[in-house]
Amino acid sequence: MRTLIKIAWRNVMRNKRRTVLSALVISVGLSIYILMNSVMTGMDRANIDNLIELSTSSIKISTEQYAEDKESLPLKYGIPDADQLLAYIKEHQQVIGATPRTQFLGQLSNWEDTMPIIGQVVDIKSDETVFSLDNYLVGNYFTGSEENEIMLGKDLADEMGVGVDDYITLYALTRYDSRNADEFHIVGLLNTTDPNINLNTVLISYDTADNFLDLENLITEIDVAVERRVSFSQFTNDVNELAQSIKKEFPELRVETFTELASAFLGITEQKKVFGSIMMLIILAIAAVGIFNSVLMSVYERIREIGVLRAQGFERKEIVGLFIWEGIFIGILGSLIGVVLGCGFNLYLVIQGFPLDKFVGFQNSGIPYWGTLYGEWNVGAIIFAFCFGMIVALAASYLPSRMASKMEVTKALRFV
Amino acid sequence: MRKILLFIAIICISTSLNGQEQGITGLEILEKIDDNEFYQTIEYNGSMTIYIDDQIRTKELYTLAKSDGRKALVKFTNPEDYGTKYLMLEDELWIYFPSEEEVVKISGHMLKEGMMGSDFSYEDALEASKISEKYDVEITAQDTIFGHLCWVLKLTAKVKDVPYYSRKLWVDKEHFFTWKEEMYAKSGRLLKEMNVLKIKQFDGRYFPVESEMVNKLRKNSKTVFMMDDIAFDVDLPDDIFSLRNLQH
Amino acid sequence: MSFIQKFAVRNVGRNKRRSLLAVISVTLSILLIVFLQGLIGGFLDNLVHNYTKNETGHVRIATKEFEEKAKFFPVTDNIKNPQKIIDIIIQDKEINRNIKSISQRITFGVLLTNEGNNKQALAYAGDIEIEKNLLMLNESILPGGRYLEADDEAIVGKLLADDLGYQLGDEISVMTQGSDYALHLKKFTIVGLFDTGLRIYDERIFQISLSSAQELLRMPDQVQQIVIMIDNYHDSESVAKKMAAKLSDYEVVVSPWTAIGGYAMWVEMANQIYNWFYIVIAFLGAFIIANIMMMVVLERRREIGIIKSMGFTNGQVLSMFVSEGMLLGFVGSVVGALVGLGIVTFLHFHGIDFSKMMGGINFPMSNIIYLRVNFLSLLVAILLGTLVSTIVSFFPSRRAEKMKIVDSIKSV
Repeated sequence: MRTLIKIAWRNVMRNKRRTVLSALVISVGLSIYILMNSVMTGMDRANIDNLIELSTSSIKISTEQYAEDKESLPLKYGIPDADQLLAYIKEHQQVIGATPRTQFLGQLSNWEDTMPIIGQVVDIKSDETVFSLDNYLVGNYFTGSEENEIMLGKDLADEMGVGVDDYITLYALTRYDSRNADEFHIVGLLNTTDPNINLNTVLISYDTADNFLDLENLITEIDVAVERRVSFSQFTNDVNELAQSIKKEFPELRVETFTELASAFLGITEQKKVFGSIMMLIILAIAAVGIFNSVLMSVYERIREIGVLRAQGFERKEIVGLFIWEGIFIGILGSLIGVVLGCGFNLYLVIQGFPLDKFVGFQNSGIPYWGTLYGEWNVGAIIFAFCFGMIVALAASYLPSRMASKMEVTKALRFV
Repeated sequence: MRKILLFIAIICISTSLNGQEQGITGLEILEKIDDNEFYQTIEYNGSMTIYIDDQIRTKELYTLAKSDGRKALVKFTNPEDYGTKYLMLEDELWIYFPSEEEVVKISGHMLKEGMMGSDFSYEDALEASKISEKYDVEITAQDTIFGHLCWVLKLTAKVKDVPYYSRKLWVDKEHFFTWKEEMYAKSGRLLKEMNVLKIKQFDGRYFPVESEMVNKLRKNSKTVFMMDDIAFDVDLPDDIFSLRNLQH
Repeated sequence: MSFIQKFAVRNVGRNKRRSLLAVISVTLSILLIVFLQGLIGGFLDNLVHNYTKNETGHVRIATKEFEEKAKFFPVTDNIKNPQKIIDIIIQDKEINRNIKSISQRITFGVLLTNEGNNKQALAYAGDIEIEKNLLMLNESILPGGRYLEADDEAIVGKLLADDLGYQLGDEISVMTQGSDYALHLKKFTIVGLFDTGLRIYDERIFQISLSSAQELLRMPDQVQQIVIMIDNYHDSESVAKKMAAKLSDYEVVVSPWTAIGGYAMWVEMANQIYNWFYIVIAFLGAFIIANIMMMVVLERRREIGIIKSMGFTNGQVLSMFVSEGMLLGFVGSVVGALVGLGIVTFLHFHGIDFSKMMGGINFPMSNIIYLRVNFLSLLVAILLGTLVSTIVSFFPSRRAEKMKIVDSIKSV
């Protein structure tokens, strides 16, 4: 046995070109597999990140009564002791921000036309810690000045024929169901990647709303941002844990995580995962073709050698064993290099990421891309890749060598 | 005795500078309007015409109302809505749908919607007489509109749950009914305007038989309300205004 | 040069084992690449289909006022003559060619009441048959119930029914503001309850027939939206433009999903990234082809020496090997491409059903991928295979050609 291994090793070292070529096929195939797996997962992650930072946030909290009546957006059922809740939430270290929001139904009017809208009241100091509107802002954010300020989605503003620094009339019912209407100064517009947001967003500050809606600081919703983790499943865990501890401490509240809020979207992501697996299989299939052929070629090259060995008394079993060991060496070499290469590039992707707005094709589509595509570590995929490389190398060595060893010795010696 | 007289004198002087010539207060004017428009019961045919941009829709209705208990029964008689009925009791509203013979109660936010898409909301219709409870009244001027001399009253909300924060009324000095009303938002923005277009005299009382409600937040948007065949103080037993009757 | 090529052909035929191995490698690589291309195309189609089928379709026709207030599902600004508009569209052969399905729809908010319990809900109304492929709620119906078959029937989300205390077979009263601004009421019988696993559907939505909705909303022969699914989602914008041109006299706007849906960015990103994948994988395939070709040539170094000693010039040797490489590459690519095309075409019509792989989640989404046939990429694949084989045969044979005859004959 040991002799066999020694011979196998020497064979492998002897013909470096052949060895390297065979191993290289494995390496390239595997590293592509690892990287692609990472990018596909990262792509989905980028989608979810964007959804979280623009609309769902990591966790949304409201009272049970409010949640049940949510469709009519009542200005009631506010969160009692909102400050206490906010303080409790911020104690957790994974929380990078928590902000209150209140929604209301209203109408925008430019005298020509009225448009029904759903408005949001935001806390201009803390809202940015949860929702990153910065990147999509045209004009300015709220300045906190005395006058009524408002921010609109860009498409909505276009529909109403207004722009930054124009004025528009907002009409709504106050907390006491009294009608109020007033002029608002448009300080900024939002131009995001989602046309729905661009058409439907109306934001005013709590200070303005206290006066305009008699809000008296009514807070109907609190949004929480949990720190992004490199691994999506860890992030999801963090969020779920936090949600549960909030729910335990404040049992009368409805606490929803982004997985519930974005369930339809995540459902489609499931499909993408399945498709991704099919793609991965194809990559591995191509790599397998390459490995197989490569090893097959080298076996055929050495049929005469096999003949010589058999003439010298090597048994068929030992011949096959020899090739298998050679296959193992090549397999290890190729798989190792492949995994190292793949992980190396992936490290860059995971830490630095790829800025989406630099992606050439995107720039022509007219959509204001923003964000970074980060790779994701998928240890399962990496291990699978390594094993796959080994197995294919082995199979590729076993089958042809079995066939070759069955040949009559004399024929083998004469083989060209 | 003297203290009381002094007290009355002070009140008379301070509360109605403009009403000095007759010593009348805003509150008293409101009461007189109520007297004028007061009826035990009323029965009439009416129509509501809704104008939005170049769309015109007309609804015809037959109404019975009783002030005791603030009851009203409205039946729509125009072809598209024939058979639909509204029953109002105090501040509750039920609607009867003839196609399915079913009654549904309307509450909450729905009351703020315009009736049949008009500029009169259910709330506007139901609310009528609680005005003096929720508003402070003062006489701010005298003005002539539509050729008639009027008191101009300014009503400002005393409480927070009023539909309109402040209102201005032009009240006919001679006959005490409202020619015009403006409804304002908390910000001071004019929201709606009600103008009386035609009045008719019934046994010494003056009743508006044609009025319009104009939406001041949007151009070309108003509703005109007309009343015909008006009969006052007809005998209307209470069970007309019942849910059971609604379903027939 | 022709005798060189004759030699090349004979060489290829002479060593069948080697040639077969090379050709098979090329064939398999190209086959997989073509298949992958079809799969990616099919998957993106599926993705866009699922993103758009419930709300916007690939192209949506509606009035301008509707599109402005779409989030509030207004029923007061409807399409007054939908059949006429549909006729105009399908009569244009060029447009009609692209169309897969046309659905007339009304989506509107309602108030459901049950013994004092009120709840706001959303009604989806469309042609019962057509919606089997779009809303696909028929696939989520719980046992005991059934899908819609007639007017005045409704299928309701399980959570919504539970909230209101409804059961299978109950009559529900649906109240809403009609297109005439007046309130209207209509009763429906619950014939089925559905559970899609998605809360937003199960607790908020119910489906009825189009004509029931038209009756309730007092909008006879009018619809709120015309939702159109086309063959290739890439054409959405151009098809929308063509339709808009044909409908310029009617007061409607024609919008592709990219303008009104929220997912355009993600599809675009997936599209770009998958295309990059395709390129990388094509390179992998090319790499493998190169690998094989290189081995083939290197194996024959001795042969090169012998031929040269027979009098062939360096140039002739080179061109012979390159011709062999080109021949092998071309044959392998064509075979691979054709077989790949066959598979893709078959799966284009038959589809790959991967619902089993989804692990029993019953989302109302299509789980069948219909591969997309793309002749251009087929040609590109053939070109790729041939080119790579040719180029790769060039290098090692060039090196070998430079060797001294003696050395090459000595090499094993």
